[in-house]
Amino acid sequence: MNNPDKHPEKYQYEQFLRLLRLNEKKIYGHILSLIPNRDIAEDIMQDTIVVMWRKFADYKEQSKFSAWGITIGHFLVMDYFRKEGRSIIHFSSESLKNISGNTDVFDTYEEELEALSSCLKTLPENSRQILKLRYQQGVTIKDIAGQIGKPIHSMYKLVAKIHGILQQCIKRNLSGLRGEL
Amino acid sequence: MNETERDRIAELTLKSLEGQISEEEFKELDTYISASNENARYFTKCIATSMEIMEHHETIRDKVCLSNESFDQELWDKLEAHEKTAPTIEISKEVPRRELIQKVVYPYREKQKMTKFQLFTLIASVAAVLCVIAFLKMFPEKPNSVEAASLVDQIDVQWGHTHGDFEIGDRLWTNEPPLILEKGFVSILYDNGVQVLIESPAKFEIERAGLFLEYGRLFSRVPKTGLGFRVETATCQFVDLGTEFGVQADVDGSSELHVIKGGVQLFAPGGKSDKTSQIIRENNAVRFDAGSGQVKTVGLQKTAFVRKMDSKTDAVWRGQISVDLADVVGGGNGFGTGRMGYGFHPATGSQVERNVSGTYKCQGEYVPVTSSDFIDGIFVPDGNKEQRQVISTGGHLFVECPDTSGTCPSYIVNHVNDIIYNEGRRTCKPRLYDIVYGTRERPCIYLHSNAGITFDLNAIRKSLPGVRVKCFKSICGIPQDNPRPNARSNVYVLIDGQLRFYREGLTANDGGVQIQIPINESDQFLTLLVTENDDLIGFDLILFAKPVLELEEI
Repeated sequence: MNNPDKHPEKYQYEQFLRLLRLNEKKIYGHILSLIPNRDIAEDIMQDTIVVMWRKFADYKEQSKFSAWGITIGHFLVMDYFRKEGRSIIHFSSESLKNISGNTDVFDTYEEELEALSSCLKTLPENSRQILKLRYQQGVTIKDIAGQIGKPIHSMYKLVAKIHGILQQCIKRNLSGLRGEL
Repeated sequence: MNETERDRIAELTLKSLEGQISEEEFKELDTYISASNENARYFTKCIATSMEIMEHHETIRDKVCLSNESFDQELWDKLEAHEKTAPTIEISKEVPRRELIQKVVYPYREKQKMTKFQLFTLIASVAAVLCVIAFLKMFPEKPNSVEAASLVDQIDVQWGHTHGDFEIGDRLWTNEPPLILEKGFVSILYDNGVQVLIESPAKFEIERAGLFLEYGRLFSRVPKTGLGFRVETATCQFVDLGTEFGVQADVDGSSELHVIKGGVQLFAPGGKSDKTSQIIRENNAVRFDAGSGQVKTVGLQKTAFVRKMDSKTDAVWRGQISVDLADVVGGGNGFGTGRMGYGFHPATGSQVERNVSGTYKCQGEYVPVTSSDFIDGIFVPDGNKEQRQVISTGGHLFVECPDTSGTCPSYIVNHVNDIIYNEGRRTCKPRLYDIVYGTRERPCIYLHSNAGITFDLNAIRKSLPGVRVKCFKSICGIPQDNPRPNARSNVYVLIDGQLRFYREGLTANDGGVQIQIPINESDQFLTLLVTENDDLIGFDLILFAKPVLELEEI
């Protein structure tokens, strides 16, 4: 283990990485909720990490790292809205306020991710295939619809339905586990 | 919130995440979210679920081939039935929808006859428009394009036919067509201080705070001012966190990242999971395989990327930490391009392919070598009262050179496995402390007395831009299996004629002797020299094992 007195910069770097790894999903989740477009959200997440790393030397309250990251991410999203102006459409201030009050949804991310494995197994084989095509092979939903000769809007409904089924399954599994405890 | 509303929020969220949502649909989603905290929470849940599915898909590896036959018709039928029976969605703040494309009916306009004035105006207007078009063609505007970097150096460059040539100092713009580097090396300096070296063949685009590399290899050196510099390939993004790193992008979409210093945030397809969004730290390397979609740890290749270059000397440096002088003796550049068993005739300086025993007389004449850039000359040392031994083309003398027989029975080579003792009755491999030398892994220079070789340090420096030659290191000794165990040789190492290492009467019993000589910036020539002692010349074999010039980045 690094001695923080001998290698202060390296120690600081290790600390940052550790905290980032623990909180990255929550920060990214909040950004993605504010601006639900993966490409843009990933860009803003990258900028957020850079800003956090730059300011990490001044950061003292390690117990609130996720809140600190969410604040920076939130600020950068607002900055993005400001810079892009009318060229992009974004949520109203009322919606942004409502979304910001639900960051705790991502607190159980890791548990839910674990529960997802067993939920995926309960899906019909063809639903799993669609998820594989979309998320493993990167085929767009539009192209999947084209491959099987179905309307695009129906395919969106289907994939959203699969998401909903998985969400319900995860919820059931987690509440079952908590009940057992 | 009823089930239909939930389904609609989920669908709109998915469309938005995919970047496929229309303005009207986004407004609809906004209406839902602003309407109640319950809706906003469900929306956030949808986002979280989507992230989890994205992350989990990393574990779904099997190739999928979906066909109409294999598709679950039953599931599809259920969905269609659901759509038919689903209730109408009612939203409190409903916004009237409009068609994206609407047919516009214009009122009939009566045709009018043109007056002469109108005709003149029309011709003048057309002429003006043509002038503007011609002007724009001559001086094309660069919409959304900004100057981001300068080309600061290039070596042996040939660009793709769609571009003109670049001169050193030319500015590089964003939002331009891709640059295709068909041959050579270029060095690009961004306005924020980031340096990028690109090696052909490569295709890339300059971006404001980064670079898109379609294929090829680059090395990036990012100062604090450029923190966050981003290299993007067809499949991955690498975001700098204060580093030096190399990226290789293959045409099939696979990418490799080699982090030399600091850390780099890697984003590979699959979203923000631990496996696909991770920080790669110093001295680590990963490869994203486009075929399998997996990110795997691979061995760090410290010398795979051009890290420094200098067009004044046409030289590039790939991060090597030492120059192997045995490789230089084999006709190489010191980094493994030489051939084993090659060397030089001690009397003529000509290049030879294998060692041949004989009696080569030269009696002290210094013979410049022309076949190697890094070897200044070869000689059979012979000092006496009448003449002093010249040991470089710079006229340096070895004042203390002893009076020898002026003969050498062997070539100067880098591979001695074929040496035959006692006319074939016995062969042995040259060993020091039981380690065999004269291989690629354990190189050596073989010098039989009386022989000397001088390396040109300045020529070596010129081939290594941004690098300092720090010291000469080797282990010298007579092989432990020498057929004449009492054979004695004198070993010398000189810098510009100044004796820096000397061992008199070295025998096989002495084993290997460590040599480490610091080298200054002003030092020009390094000379290795072996002479006979006061006994017979036979089997005065000296190995300079692992003879290297150690390097240090400036």
